[in-house]
Amino acid sequence: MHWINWVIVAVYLLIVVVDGLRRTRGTKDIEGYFLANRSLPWWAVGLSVMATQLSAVTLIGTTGQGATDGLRFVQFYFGLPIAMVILGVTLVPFLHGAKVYTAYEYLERRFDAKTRSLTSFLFLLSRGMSCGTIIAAPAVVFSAIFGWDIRWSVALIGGPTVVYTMLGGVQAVAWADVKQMVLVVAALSAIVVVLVVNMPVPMDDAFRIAGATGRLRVFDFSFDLTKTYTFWSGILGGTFLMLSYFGTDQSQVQRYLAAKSVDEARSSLLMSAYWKIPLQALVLLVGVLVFLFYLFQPAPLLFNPAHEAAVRAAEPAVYTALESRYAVAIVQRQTAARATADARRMGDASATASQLAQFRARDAEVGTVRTEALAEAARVTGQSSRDVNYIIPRFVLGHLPLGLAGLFLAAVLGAALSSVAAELNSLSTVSVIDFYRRWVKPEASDAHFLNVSKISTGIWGIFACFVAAKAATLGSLIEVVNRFGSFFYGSILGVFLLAMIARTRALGAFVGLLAGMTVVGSVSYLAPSVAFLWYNVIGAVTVVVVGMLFSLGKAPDTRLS
Amino acid sequence: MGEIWGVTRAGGYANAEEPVTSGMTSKFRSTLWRVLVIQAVALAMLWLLQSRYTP
Repeated sequence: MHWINWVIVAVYLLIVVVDGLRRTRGTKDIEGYFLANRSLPWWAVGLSVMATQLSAVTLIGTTGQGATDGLRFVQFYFGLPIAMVILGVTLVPFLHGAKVYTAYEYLERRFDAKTRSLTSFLFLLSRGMSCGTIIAAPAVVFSAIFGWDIRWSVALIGGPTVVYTMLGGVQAVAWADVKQMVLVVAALSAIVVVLVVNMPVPMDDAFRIAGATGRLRVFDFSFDLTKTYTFWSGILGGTFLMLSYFGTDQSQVQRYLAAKSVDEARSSLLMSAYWKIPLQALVLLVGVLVFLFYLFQPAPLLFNPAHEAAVRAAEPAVYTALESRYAVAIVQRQTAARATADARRMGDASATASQLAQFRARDAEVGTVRTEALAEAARVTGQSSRDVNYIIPRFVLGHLPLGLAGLFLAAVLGAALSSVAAELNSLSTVSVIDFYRRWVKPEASDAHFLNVSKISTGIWGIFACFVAAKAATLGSLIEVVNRFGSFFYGSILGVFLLAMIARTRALGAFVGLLAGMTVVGSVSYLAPSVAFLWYNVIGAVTVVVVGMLFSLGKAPDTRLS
Repeated sequence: MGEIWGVTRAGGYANAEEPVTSGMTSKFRSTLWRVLVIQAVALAMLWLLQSRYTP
């Protein structure tokens, strides 16, 4: 990569770290460190919420998914606006009004200490592991693209994050997120402009070609529990997932607890409700445009350069033969794509339809050769050869103008930093507030808790980097950890739903939580084909039903009187 | 609105340290309408994109 691009990346990282250090001045107690003294404006909290959710994987993986699979992934977010509205009316006033530091602290006020400790323990367990994988996923891509040792990639992401999160607390995290969102939107918009300007056929024809491959199909109304992305799984499963994520996950809750007032907290969530679907559609559209770009430009057979080199070294004859077949298939597909565009321009409907059929057949041939090459890569390396995460980095480094590649790389690094920072900050908050202050040293001074919080952030940071370096060498572990969280997300949401129902009791909440996790675990084991989005519905409904049954006929808790 | 969701002061709000603004204020209601309109427009545009270009 050109040195000017590296300068852009370095300047951005420097700005984030220096700004984080500058904000340590306003952080004199744990309320300032964890909640910014409840002083953040709604728009900063809103951007921070969006930035936390937009990780590096979103920028490189979701755009890659757009290139290979099209726009249908956007259905995953259909439940988000509904969830935000429900949270704005229910949980946000609860949590903000209760003046708590963590969502789980509230559960002790409503139920009891063991429900609080179990939910916060589950949060630490899942987020502690996933924090490592959030670093690992982009680190693996950086290592493969630039040929770095994985430890350097992990250090590049983890180092600056730990420094500014540890010293600056939530202030540094939130304001870094604001910069990151601006950078991401600017980089994505610039890439769209570059792709559209360089498209060799009119955009209407290009979209017609993308449509012929099914990449512009957004809506799937089939009610199939085994399909991950359908309209119904997005609306129902997605709503429950987003309710769990934004309502009960400390990394999100902590953002709006830092808002000035309940109204500002609500407005910050509604900002995501406004912009998440359009932003996600933009991310996927970038992928579709990159697919169209590679219809008219030579595309790599394997996008992962490390796998490409490995297969070329181990099986040179096989790889050369595959490359020859791929080159022929690519030229034939390109010819068919141009012929389709020409036929449309001539206004010949039957010729257009016939050319589209030709194009689809050629596209399938390209896909067949790629599948064989990916299988060869998997055999040679012994790793998963899925290369969706490498499509956009290869395009960015190979085809974007000078400066823009650096801007995009800075955006990817910024996205990784902000997601990891939010996790570290929330992990530290839960460790200190829900465990250290609750069980170990309840009477210590504020200055003591501030020091412990900083040390805790540093320890979680080192732990996350360690997990990342290990996870990176065990590719499938990343997927396992990501699925692990969905096992109890819905159940934790169920406990918070119970908390809002008047006559429910502590025993019901605790038993319901255990029942919810047991049922989700059983469904996952006995019916593995059920898509994971439905786990959230199953878990939440089980907790509420069991929790209410165990609260029947009991007198209200004395703590409520 | 809190009552509609089955949320009462004997439930979660009972433990709040200060009174909280529950339910929908007029500001929140107008924001909500804007959210619904923007979502409807976004979904309609995606639908148009799909129906125009997908055979």
